Amino acid sequence: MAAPKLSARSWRIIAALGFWALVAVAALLRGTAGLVLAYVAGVWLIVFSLLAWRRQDEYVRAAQKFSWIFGGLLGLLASLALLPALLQPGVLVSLLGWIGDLLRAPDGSPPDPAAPAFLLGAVWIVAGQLVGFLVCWVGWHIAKR
Amino acid sequence: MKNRIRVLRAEKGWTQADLANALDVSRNSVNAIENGKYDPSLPLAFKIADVFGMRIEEIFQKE
Repeated sequence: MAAPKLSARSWRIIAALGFWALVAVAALLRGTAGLVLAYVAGVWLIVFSLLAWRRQDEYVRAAQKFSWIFGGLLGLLASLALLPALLQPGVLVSLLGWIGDLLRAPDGSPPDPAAPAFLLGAVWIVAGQLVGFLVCWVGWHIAKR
Repeated sequence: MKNRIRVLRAEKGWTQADLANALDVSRNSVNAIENGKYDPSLPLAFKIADVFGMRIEEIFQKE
């Protein structure tokens, strides 16, 4: 079945709203069910982002490619450079503690010992890439006006 | 690369949004191309030429 002809913006809105709704429910459920729902949210985001990508014109695609390549790379390097600061005593707990709470099972048992590694090795790095992307994205649009 | 899109569009009495609709691109794309801030791909350049009923080299020139 062919996807309906919605605009790229409509697909992006569907992608974002669905993703955050699923993440919110996952945060409420926690535990294994929450984790499964978090994966579903990730798949949702990928599928609808791809549909949005297909409807975008080449100018927007060029902006996104540029931002992911250069902004994503700079964000990745920045997040790695800031990693030592994050590892200082107390910093990780105070900065990312709320994510650790989300990973905690509903029965109150401690989170998986791999949680800090996941936070530092995945969440922190991806967050840095996203910030770099957004900075480059805004810069591109200002430069091309 | 410079182009005559702004002049040609004005001659037709079209807004940037009109041209964007005809080309199936965003208005920002048309604005960036007109201002020489973004060079369109060859398929889009052909599409622009078709919309104005001209050849590509009559619209786009080397700086």
